Amino acid sequence: MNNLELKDMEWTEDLFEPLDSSEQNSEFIAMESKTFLQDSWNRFKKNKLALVGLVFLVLMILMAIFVPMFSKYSYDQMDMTALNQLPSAQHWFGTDKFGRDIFVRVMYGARISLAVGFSAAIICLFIGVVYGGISGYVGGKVDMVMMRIVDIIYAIPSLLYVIFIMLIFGSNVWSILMGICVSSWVGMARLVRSQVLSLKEQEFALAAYVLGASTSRILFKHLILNCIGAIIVNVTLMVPSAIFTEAFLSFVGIGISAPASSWGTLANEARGLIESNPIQIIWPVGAICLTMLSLNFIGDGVGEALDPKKK
Amino acid sequence: MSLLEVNHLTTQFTTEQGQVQAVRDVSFSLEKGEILGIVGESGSGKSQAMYSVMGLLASNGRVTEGSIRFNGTEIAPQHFAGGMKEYEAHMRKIRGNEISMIFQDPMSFLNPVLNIETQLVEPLLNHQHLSRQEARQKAIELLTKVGIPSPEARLKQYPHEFSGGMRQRIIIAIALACNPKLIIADEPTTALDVTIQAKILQLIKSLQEQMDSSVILITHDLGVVANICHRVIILYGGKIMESGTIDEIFYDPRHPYTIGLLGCVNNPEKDQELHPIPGSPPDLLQPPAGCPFVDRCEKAMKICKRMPPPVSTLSPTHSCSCWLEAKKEVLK
Amino acid sequence: MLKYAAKRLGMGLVTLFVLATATFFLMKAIPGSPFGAEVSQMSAAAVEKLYEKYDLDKSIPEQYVIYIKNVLHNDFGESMTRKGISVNSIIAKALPITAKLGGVAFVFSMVTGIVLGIIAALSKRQWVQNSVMIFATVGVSVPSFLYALMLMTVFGVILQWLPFIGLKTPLHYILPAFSLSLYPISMVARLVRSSMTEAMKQDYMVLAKSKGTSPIKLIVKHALKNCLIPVVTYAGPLVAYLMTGSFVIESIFSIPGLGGEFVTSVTNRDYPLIMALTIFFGAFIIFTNLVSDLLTAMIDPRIKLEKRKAA
Repeated sequence: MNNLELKDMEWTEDLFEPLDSSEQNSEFIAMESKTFLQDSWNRFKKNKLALVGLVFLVLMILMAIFVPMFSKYSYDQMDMTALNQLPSAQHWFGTDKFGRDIFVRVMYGARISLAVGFSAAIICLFIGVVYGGISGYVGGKVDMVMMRIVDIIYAIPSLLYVIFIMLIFGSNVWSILMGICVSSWVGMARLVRSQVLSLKEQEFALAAYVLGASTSRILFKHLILNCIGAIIVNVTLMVPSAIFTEAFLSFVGIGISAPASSWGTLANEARGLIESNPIQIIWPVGAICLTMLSLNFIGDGVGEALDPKKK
Repeated sequence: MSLLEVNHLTTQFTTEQGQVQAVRDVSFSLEKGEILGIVGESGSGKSQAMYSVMGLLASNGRVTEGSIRFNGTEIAPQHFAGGMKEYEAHMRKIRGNEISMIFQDPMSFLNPVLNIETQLVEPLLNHQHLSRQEARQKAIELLTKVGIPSPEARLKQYPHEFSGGMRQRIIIAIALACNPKLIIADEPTTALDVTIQAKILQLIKSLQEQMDSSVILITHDLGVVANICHRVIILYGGKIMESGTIDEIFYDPRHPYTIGLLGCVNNPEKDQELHPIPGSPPDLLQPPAGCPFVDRCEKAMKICKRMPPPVSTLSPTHSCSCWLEAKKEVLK
Repeated sequence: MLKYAAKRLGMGLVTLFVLATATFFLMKAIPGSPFGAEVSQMSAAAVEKLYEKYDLDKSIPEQYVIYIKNVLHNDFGESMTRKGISVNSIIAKALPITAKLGGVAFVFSMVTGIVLGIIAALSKRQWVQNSVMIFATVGVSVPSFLYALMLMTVFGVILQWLPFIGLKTPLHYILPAFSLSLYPISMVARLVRSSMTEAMKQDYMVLAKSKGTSPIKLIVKHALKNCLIPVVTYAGPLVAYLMTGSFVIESIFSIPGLGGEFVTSVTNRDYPLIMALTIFFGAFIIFTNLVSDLLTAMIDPRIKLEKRKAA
């Protein structure tokens, strides 16, 4: 403040009258209070790539449900008069070597691939959270034994489970799903356990205990809710990894077999025609890539949105 | 010539919500051998003012105005002709050598994966032409100086193998390594037990006397200041409210905020009640037009809301920014 | 440290034993004769002889004891489909091929991934950060068989710059190793970027800077070691991925490696080979996980303390 300015001003007594206490706002709220989910959603919306991914994924799911239902073609209907056609008004993606409509087959494949991805993630989420939560919360010998079991399962490559289960139960969606789940839940269990262990040490868990919250309440309300961020991120990464596993298996011909079609199976079928008719492989592979990209963008977006430090 | 002269320092942070004005028009100076206390609540800008001096602001913060003269040389980043590159090169020679900093939290400021020796010899190797062996010898001396028993054996240990008080001593040893002219201690005792707090403060004071350094002690605790400082600056909402010698601040406080702070100090001799100041510090995203303390001030006047108070000089060492003081001058 | 290593090794042996046992009983649980249709065309005496040869005439517990004994003697018997060839010699032939390819891919993906991750974390230019991250997201979203097919078509078939069948010369390694590496490169780059960004924000970096340490030293000495911890932890599973996950790449580039053997053994139901490969993969992965854990403990001094407390 410049002293010249002070001299220039006219000073009257009334400027120095006490301020009415109503004009003082002694408490203010630093930031608009929003629920955790609202806040996260707002941050998620700012991430354009994640939003595009979400829109694409929803579209894909809707198409996977409705296209095979309403199309005039079915996924296994052959047409010997229209083999290996290029995309046209009748067949949007063309036809394959048996004259089957590729558009319908890709959408039917989306059903299988997406179903495998999402169900695997949900099953693993459930088993992993319960198992890891109990192991971390109970601690001691129980934790020791439970974690050694996890170590053993973790040490065996997941492909082995899938292949074994397929040998026993045959090559179908259920075997693949089961195989993926048997090996994938341990990652979630480890994550939840370590989160629970570190949260258990923190003051607020003790505070809840001192305030008389019951054991299960502490476990589920305080601990699980506090590591929900890490859990959701893990789930969003599990969906694409399950889709990948299924696609790999079907691609080398030990997964879902024809005439049923997953994206992996379709890519495998089109592989033989890659030189004569390369466009056929683009559809299933494009579907995989775009879906995986969407899922990964969503995963990154969710991860950032749920990180409360990023305000 | 003062060792450190800060004039009209203003520091801003860019956040998603907008520009946060952490430090606003702060001026002060520090003489050789002096211990200056900077007191304020959390968020008053006291740490950020010192980070500005050392050029350690987070990437979203920058000094927008003002000058910082250290030992007669300008070291405010915006005054460097060659831009940030020149500034960084210049500051690298000063940091840890002529100015060093003691940090608040001994848990997080030591690198968990490097042993104590590596972290302790680093300033020595950066600034002095020492061999590894000489640096190691110096490190042992430093650990002895700050009171860590059997230093040879402890050099190879990692931070997690030390207690909180010991870690704080290590951080002090790192700061003292090159006999700096200025030591900035940012709440060096806040994270420690009360019994250890007193010991650490004594240690800082005795080391300061031995080395004839100057110290800036940042704290929110006037009690700490009373024990070791010569002069005090009271900071609020990024601005200086009052500054003076210990006697002036404790026996003749003028600013209502200073008076309020003194009400929060536990004085065992007087057996008086503690009086907390109601309310919370202002939002520095939209700093108030007038005095930052207006909303919590018992003696607030109409003018306080409209205009920031000018600085009133009460004695060569004592000054205050409050309309209660300014009123006496302007209404003369 | 030694005690910790010994404990982990013991645990690994237990895991291996469980794996061998589980494999055995799972094999026995597979419905139908292991010889399939072959048996129906043979005489009763011949079938009996065949069963005797593979000890299938004995009771299951007896078979189990024989099997474990043989495994301990490193004897996995003969292949069922390739008569007269021991399983061990099949593995011995295929292993070096997969190991060489996997080794090249491992080094390549680690080096490239770490460099890319550091660039993405430290670059002040937004476009550099964005392009690395988009590359890394695409990398984890596109199935490796797609890269393999694309690279093969473009550089092998169309441009004819690089050979793409088998692994005869060093040049033959380029396409398969590159296709195999893209996914791990992206994973490592993402991992390094996030841990590097995290490390740069830590308080200890401020202290290090306050000592007058140069920017290069800050990164190499203070941040890099911290940010390598998750990378080393990931290296174990990465080796597992390169060894077992290479089956798609091997099948595309006609490489006679372990992955290919595994897929063939499954489709042909060659039980001795499946069992041997399962145990081999298991042992290998247990070993790499052990090594990566020990390396982590060497980099991160805090880990030793935790283990000592837990023991």
